[in-house]
Amino acid sequence: MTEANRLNNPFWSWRKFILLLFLGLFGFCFYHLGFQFTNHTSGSQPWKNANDFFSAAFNPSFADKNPSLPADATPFLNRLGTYLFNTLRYAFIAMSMALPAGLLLGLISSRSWWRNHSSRANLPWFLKITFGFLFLCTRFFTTFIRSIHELIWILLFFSMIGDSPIAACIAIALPFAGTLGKVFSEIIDEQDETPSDHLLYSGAKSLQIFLSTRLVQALPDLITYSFYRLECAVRASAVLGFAGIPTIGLSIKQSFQNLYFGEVWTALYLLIFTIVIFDVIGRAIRKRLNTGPTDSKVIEDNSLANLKKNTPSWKLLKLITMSLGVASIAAWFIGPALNTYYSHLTRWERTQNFFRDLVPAPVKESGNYLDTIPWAKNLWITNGASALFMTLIIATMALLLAASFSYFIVPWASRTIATYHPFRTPTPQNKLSRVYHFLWYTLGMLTRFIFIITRSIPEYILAYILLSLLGVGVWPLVLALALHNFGILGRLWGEIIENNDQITAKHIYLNAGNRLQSYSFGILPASSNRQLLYIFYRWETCIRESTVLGMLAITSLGYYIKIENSSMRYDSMFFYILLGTAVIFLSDLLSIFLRAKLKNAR
Amino acid sequence: MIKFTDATLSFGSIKALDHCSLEIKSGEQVALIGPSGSGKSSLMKTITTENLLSSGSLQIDSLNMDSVSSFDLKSIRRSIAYIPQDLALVPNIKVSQNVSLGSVGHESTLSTLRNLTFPNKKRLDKIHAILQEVGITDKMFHRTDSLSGGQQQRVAIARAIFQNASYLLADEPVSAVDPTRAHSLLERLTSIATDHKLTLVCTLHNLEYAKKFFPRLIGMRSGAVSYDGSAQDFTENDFNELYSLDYSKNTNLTS
Repeated sequence: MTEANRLNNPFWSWRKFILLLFLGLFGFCFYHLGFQFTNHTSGSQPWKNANDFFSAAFNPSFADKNPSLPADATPFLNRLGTYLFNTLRYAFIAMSMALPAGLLLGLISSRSWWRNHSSRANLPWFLKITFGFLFLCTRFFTTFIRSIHELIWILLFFSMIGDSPIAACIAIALPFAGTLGKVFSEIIDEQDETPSDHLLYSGAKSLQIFLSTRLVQALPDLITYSFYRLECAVRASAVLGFAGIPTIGLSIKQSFQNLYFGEVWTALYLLIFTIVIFDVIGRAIRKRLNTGPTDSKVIEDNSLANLKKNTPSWKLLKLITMSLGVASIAAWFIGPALNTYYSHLTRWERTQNFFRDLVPAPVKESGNYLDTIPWAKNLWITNGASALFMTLIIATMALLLAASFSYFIVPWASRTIATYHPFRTPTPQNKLSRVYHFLWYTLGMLTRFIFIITRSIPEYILAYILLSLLGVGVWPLVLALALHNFGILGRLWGEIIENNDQITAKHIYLNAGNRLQSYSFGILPASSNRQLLYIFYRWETCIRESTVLGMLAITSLGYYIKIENSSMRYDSMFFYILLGTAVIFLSDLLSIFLRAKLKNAR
Repeated sequence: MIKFTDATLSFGSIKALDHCSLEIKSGEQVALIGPSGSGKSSLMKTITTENLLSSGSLQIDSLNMDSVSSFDLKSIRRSIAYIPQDLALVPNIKVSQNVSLGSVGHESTLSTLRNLTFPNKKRLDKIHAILQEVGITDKMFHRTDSLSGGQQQRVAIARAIFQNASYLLADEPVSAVDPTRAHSLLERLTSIATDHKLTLVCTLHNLEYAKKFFPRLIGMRSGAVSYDGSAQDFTENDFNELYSLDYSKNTNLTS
């Protein structure tokens, strides 16, 4: 349809198309996933297990439940404390590696870094080509390291250099550096161009302009996002436990396997509490960075020395930044050795063996690289295609479920709507106002609480628990992924609503509209495109997640990656990893295309 | 000296400047007036080298902008301080840092970074003195976006002064302030231009201010100069000619 036709046709819009696409995909995914939500083997007592598990939520353990533990064994709470310390330690170590790398990648993969300022327009052609090539290489590298999930990086690193905490930290740091790089470059590119243009026309150089305006403008968002990634790193580090690293995930796994559900809940509560603390600090940092320190003090003496002395500053921000810096350095040195290695092979031999085994088996025998083609074709036909399909279906269905529920609930979690004074309008005080105030406050708190709980528990842990309760099947994975993403979308969309201009909504509300009308016609039209953008952003993440959730015994890509890894068939393992990577690359391109379309869509 | 000769600036089929010719001598103080969309801002942006003419020529300090070398372009840019309508301030840094960015064209990248993070006493003293000149010293170390619109406008003026340029261009510098403040701001701007021996070109919508503060007025209409003369000679007839609504020229309104 041409542009003119589209503008003249009132029935056509991208939003309607997206809605139809949503419904179509819903049907398609349901058709392939089937309606068997549980899969219990005969003789099992699924409801008793579920009952035991959920009733233990009200009765968390504070001491060991295992009667056969020796008397000198470390007590449960001490052990859990150590696991929590390790979780935080590995998260800080991973972030201390990922942040500088992500910043570097973000800078050189942002468009504005390579932008052809008029001062650069006269560059010789070979330099232009070199710059273009470097830009594409950085983008490719950033997408590649990001497209492989940390749990798969762990498998690769453990096979390559052996099991050690530092290998696990690097495994988290790599995809995190990629994600930070991608998001950093987007944040930098999104900044208002007027200050940099102004400097350009007052004779500044490109690098000067980039460093003194764009980077400075982006700084608050870069810091806020880095802090959010630290929160994600804590979750990722908790999941490391499932790979045998002594973090909180290991405690959950061991207690769950022994059916000590009380212990599981204690560990879960501890994890949620930690994440909530990070979330609260992150929110405070964001709020302060967006407005800056305020100081309404009237200064009489305007001398330079006095003004300097009275510079408004936010001491807590300095304190938090310093503590985080100290923690990142201390994490490297405090605690057990990071670089442990136990094997009859030297590290170098092990690495060599690993890379040798990455060569496809038929090629190793014949020496002919053309043999890769039938080998790959065979893997694709036997398992690859169906596993890839399943990965996509799980991811898509989970996201559709998460988005649908989150879409209707999110307004009632917003601080501007779920309050007695919506859109900051004054409300008269009467006898019932205290009751209303309390009810709205409770509703807002409750919905925000649900969002924060669902996103605090990593999807891998949720999937592990749901699989044990519902039986081995696809739906537990879908539900786990949906629950986690429901929480994340709730947070992201909530921020969009709160940051959106409230003037129109307030106007409608003051014209006797209700909250829903004010939201639907005052905020939604301006923010729905951004809400959709987040769905596409999450879709890509869901594909990565659904790949690894397969490691929990469902035939998605992760399942085969794990099987091949445990059989030490690194060549086929790498084939499946690359298959997942290819899908992420494609979804990345699709997401860029759709985002560009949506930016200007009606 | 700024000299336009038969200058035309086109954006597709729209002509922002249409065979425009004018000359502004060094040290002059000129107000650009005219209805919205008459080409005032386009003229300003052409002087700041943001726009390149489609035909005709622009000469700044004896250099022709069509054939200027990169080296000379930089030096021209350094000599023009511009206060745009949207101010183009970095919102999340201190006022002193924004003012400091005025001199960025005169420095290396490393010194810009040093001046932004650890400015020396001499530099701070200079910024302090300029902020005193525009009357906003007390906000020197406050974050720029915590200031009101009028205060930010003064920061932009301070940044322009700090650039140490020979031309000062201001696009609607008093649009965001009340009449009393507008009055004192224009007084300040013209006296700063006199004190620092700057050539001042200022676009204004308020004719009263233009006549009061500027000896010379240039009236723009449909991309060309329709009045060029002293403020005293500007008559009601000139006003009517400049501002009369002529719908026949505006295809969007008649169609």
